Formats: sequence, C-alpha cells, structure tokens
Amino acid sequence: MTELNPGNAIVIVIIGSVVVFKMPNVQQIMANKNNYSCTDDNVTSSKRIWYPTIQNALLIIVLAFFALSSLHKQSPFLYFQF
Amino acid sequence: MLNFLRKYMPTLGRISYKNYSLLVIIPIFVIAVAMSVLEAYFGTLYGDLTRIGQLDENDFGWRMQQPNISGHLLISSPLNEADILVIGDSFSNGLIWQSQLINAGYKPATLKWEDFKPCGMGENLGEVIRSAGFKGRYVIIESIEHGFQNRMDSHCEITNKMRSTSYQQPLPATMPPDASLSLSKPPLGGDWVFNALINKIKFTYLFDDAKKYLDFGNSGARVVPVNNGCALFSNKKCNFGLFYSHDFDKKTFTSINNILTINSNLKKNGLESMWLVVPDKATVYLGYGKFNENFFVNPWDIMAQHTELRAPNLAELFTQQSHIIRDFYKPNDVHLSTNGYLYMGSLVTGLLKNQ
Repeated sequence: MTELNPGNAIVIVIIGSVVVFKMPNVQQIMANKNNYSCTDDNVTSSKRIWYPTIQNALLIIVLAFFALSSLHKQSPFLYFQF
Repeated sequence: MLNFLRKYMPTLGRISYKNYSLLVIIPIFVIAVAMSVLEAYFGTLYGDLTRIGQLDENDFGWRMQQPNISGHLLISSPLNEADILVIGDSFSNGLIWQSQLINAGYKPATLKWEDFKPCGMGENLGEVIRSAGFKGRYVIIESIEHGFQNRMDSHCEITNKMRSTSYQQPLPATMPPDASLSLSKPPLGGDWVFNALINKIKFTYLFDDAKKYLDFGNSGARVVPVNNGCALFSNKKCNFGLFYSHDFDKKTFTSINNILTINSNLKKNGLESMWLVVPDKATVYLGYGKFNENFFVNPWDIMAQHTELRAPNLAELFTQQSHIIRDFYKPNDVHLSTNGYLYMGSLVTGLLKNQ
C-alpha cells in the first residue's frame, strides 16, 4: 500500500470535499425518490429514513481522525531480537 | 436517556444537508492540515529511541558529522573463507566495527544470534561451527548487556544449519538526513506526530528538577538528565540523555557457568573465543545498574575472575571513551555512532594482534 506522505491527507480531504459538494447526496436522492418514506413524523407512522444531525457529524469527525492517524504507524521494533 | 430525548426533542441536533457536509468536511480538513504541518515540523526520523519514544529529532537527533567508511569494508565473508567468526546482535549486524578487522587484513564472517537455534548459544557450538565449514581460529561472541543474561540463561544442542554465504551492508550515514518536506520522504504518520506533539509539551513543561527521569512512548524510552551532557552529546537538548527502557529492567547476571561450558567446547574444537558484552547506553552515561529494577551484578567483573575467558571490560573502556569521543553512543539511538564502532573495532583488532 502506498504510504501516506505529507500533503496526501490534504489531497484526500479535498477530493472528498469535491465529491460531497459536487455530487448529489445519496440520502437526498433516496429521499426524493421514495417520498412516501420521508413524510412528516407527526402525520404518518411511516419510519423516517436517515437525516443529518450534529451528533452524526461529530461521530464521523472522530472516526475520520482515527482513520487518518492510523494510515501509517511507526514500527515499535528494535533490532535486538536477532 | 437517548430515547427520552428523541421522544420529546425529535429535531435534536438536526441540521441541513449543506451544514452537515460543511461540519464534517471542515474539521477533517483541519486535522489533515495539522497532520501535514506536524510532519513538516518533526522532519525525518533517524533514531530508534526517538521513533519508539515518539520524541522530536530536533531535540535528540545527533548533529555531528561521522566518518565515511568505504563500501568494500562492510562485507561479511563466506564462512568457509573467513578467519574470524563474529556472532552478534544489531551492534555487529551493520558490519561497521568489523571494518577495522578487514582494514587489518582479517576476513571476518558475521552471523546473528538467531542463526543458532533452538537456543541462543549451544553446548555444541564448536562442532556446529566447524561442520558449517569455518576453518579459522577466532570466534568473537558479541551481545548487548541487557540481552546477555537472556541469551546465556540456558544452553542446549544447536540443531539448525547456519548461513554461510557472503553479504554486504549499506554505508552508515555521515550526516543527519535532510529534514525538508518532500513527497518522497517516509511519512511519520498521524499517530506518531500527535503523540510526539503531546510528548514535546510533556518534556518541555513537566520536566522539573524534582523529577529524576520521564518515560515516553509507552515507556519504551526514558529521558534522564545527564551531568555535563553537552560535552558528551551533540543534540540540541544535550543535557538530557535518551535511554532504552530495557536498560533499566535487565535480569541479574547469573549465567557464568553456561559461558564457561560454551567456552570450553569452543576450545575443544581449536577455537579461541572473545566475549564482547557491549554495555548499555545507560551503563556508560549513568553508571553501573543505575535505576535498574533488578539486583545488578557486573558481568565484566565476574568474567574477569575466570582466566580462561577473554572478555575485555567494555563498560570501563566505553565509559572512558564517552568522555573523549562526543556522541560515542548516538543521542537518539541505543547504538554506537560510527566513531564509537570504529573505536570498538580498533580495540578488538588490537586484542587479536596482541594474542
């Protein structure tokens, strides 16, 4: 696997941003396509599909932090063993 | 609790798709930029102890130029052509100190401890060496101090076949690596840089006079103030020594009888042995057994009591030299510098010549 060099993490995030802002959001497509499943909670018992929340965003940020930090790990090995 | 909030506050935390995207992307972008800035700040790793201790090379990296060694001197000869067999660990694997033997006209072959199985040292070592094709007279057994007791703790019959081919090692660095940011540079990784940042803050602000030492990197490395350290080391924070944690938990030396058994087996096979116990960096710069968790027994003194053993007191000699040669051990590593290795090589060569 290619190692994550300095700057590559930024490139990954920029590409991710373009995808998020330029490509249609999957959840929005689903919501528009299946209107019946996205009605107001107060007037229907239909189960609402996913909607964005701050908690969800925070969870993704935390997961992304650990994912980015774990892309390259320094070896704890010291060459005394042989 | 969560169900209660969902029931009475169904829109809790709900945001628009656009705000959601921004809220996710901007912090992740900031994390990625912070990682890159820290990568640039911490530069390139070039020491074992800074790597495992997650410490800044700007503070502990060596900065003094080391001598150049010609590539043709960093060769291990095939076993059947060699006149000296070196059995050693990472201190011998770079073949740097052995370059002095080659300079003096010898043809050393170097094997690792792991080439001898199932145990570190076998009671039939002499027979195994001879049957592998070694025709020389000298066997040099080298081990780092903190690993010596473990290696000599037991002896058994060696059953594996030894490697006997020639090999070469790369030239050691003469200058610290270029620290400038480049896409071809090996990455430090987010995990390492964030921990290094925390350790940098910890080292800068938590190390007061009341503390005798501070452990870093899951206790893999220990920083200890060293008296007159700037005369001994070339790193920026030269008043602090960086040591390997296992320098402080080495087992009490009790294996002299196993050493004598192996030594007599070598002699029986017409081999003259030399035992090189390389002192831990902590022994050289802090003193014998300092901060050691177990009772300390000096292996060099014990071996000196047996006249049949040829075991120079490297602890004493290296301690003297550490006051003469700056960076005798690399400040950011457990190993000797090239200058240190060359001293060790000339010492061994001198002992062989005088034999």
